Amino acid sequence: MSGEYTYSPLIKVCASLLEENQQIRFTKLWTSAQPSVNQYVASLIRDQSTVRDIVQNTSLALLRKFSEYDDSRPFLPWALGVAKFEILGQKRDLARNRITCDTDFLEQYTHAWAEVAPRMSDEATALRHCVAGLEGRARTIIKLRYTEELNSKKIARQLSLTPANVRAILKRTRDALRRCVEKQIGLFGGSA
Amino acid sequence: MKGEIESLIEQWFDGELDAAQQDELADWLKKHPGDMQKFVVANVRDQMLRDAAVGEFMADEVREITPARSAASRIKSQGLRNRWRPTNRIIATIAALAACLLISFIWYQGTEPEIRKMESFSSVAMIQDPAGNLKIGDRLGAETLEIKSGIVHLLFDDGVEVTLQGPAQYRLIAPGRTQLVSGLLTATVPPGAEGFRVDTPTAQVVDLGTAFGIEQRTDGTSKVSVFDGEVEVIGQKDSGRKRLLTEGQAIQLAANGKVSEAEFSTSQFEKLWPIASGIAGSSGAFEFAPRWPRKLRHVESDTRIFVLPEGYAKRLVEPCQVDMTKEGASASVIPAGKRVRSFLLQFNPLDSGGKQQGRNRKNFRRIEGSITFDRPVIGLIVEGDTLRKTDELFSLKRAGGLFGRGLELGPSRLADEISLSKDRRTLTLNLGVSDRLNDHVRVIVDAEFNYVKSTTQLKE
Repeated sequence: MSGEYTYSPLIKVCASLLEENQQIRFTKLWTSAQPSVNQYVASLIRDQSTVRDIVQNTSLALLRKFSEYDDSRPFLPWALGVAKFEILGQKRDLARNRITCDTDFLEQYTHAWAEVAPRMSDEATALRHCVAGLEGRARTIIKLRYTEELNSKKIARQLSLTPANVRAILKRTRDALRRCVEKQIGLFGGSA
Repeated sequence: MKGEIESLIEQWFDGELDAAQQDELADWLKKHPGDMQKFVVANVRDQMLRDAAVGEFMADEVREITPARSAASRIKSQGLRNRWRPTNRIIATIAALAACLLISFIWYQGTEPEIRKMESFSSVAMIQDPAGNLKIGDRLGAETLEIKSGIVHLLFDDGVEVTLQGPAQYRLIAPGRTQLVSGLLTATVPPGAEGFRVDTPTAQVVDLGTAFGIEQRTDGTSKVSVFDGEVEVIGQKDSGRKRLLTEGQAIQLAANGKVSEAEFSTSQFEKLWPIASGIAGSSGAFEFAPRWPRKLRHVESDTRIFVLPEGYAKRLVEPCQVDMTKEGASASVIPAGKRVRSFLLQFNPLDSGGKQQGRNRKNFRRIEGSITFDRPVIGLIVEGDTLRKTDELFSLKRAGGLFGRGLELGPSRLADEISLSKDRRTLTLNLGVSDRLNDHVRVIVDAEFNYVKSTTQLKE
């Protein structure tokens, strides 16, 4: 999913409004921040097409306001702040709309995300390695959960388990992945 | 309150929170910045896992469709693709569908046993005192096993291991779903295969990552004992009530469905354990260790070398240093990614703590024996340093309080001796220990899934 919006035609048109060195600067900053912005939006909005719209609108808004960006400050918090307003302006998501309408909650959540996400960037590579090592039912459940977007009830129905079993297996799998990531980071450097 | 919030967070990830619960969660997190931080960390990790999973399973799909894509590329390169008109495509699609239907019909009519063979999901890994027609390497699908006597060890394709002691009747229903009609069973369910289920006539036993045993008697009563981890037991006549059993707990289910607490005892399973753990046989001083006590220093004997299986079979997440791969061979490394199982062989004389005989007394004892594993040995760890370095990887810190664990190999007449058979399955030890010292050998055995299949192919 990451990288999907970076070179959309609309952004290219808007980017043409900036000077060339500004275009390069924006592209670099957005390419680096976009995966985290995408994850931030997806963590709050369930519907994937709405997530795409919000991230697209965020990138356009950032581009329009890029001349106001103070480059002595980190880009991610600024980008997340813009994404937060896009979420607040979004009315279509039905799955998590209560919590995303709470301005105070969203303010604190966004602030914490900007603080912790950069510190966790080492985990992504290690996690890909660990997910590749999953076997058996844990692998099946992770696949159903994250690629087919099924909740515990639907997964349980498919695998003849109870939803509580599925939740327990998911929890254990996440714990095992966490241990694997810590080990990987310990072996190859970085900070967990 | 903390527990309720954790439950709400779990439901948040499941997308199951209603409006009131969302408000409750948001209010709590706004008032507790520490929990907000943890909530955000959990969300970052959840999203990272989503991206990693999407990447991983997309790669799986690409691997699956690669041959078809190559064929398409060939057609394109021959310039045929561009000449296809829509009508031709429709005719070709209909013809292809008709051909598929015809092939499916012929397949269904004529090759039913082949289909059954394709649906196999477990293998016979070991048999002791066979009294039936099963043999090592047999692939099994949905079927009922009648075991008149002896012990049968099954390896499921997802890593679950089930050992049955006859007389027993055991039904394989589907991957992850089985039924014990009668007999004695132990199951070891490695991480990744949680949810494995054994039904009995009166209950449903669902594993949550563990080792457990079931004794199903002919009078209809059953006893479920948990050796490690957790299982969920649902009595079929207990209004669907779920009972969570943890390590060292047991439950009894009467034929009429009545559920009662039972005394935890492992004695009835003792005959099963060596086979269940991958030991094909032993002679001389070797003895399978009791499951308790857990601390190795409490497992002691002047006349026994104890065999202690170390946890589940698992894939190495990092390379594992070994001191020898065969007799006389030098140090080597087992690469990360290899699926292995580990055993600790321990000679720990009774007075090794020096309590009875006095610390300065040199009590020298020699002991010998042979042990045969059901898979080939791929590495031996015999030096104190390497044992310590690999403890965390395999032994769950059980080795605290033991001294001088490595072997003393060399020309001295007091030296320890170790040898491995040509087929790499039988290990012979001749160990000498004095005073407070102990001897440990960590044995790393191949646990790849394809081993049973390749053994069968070799036989054929």
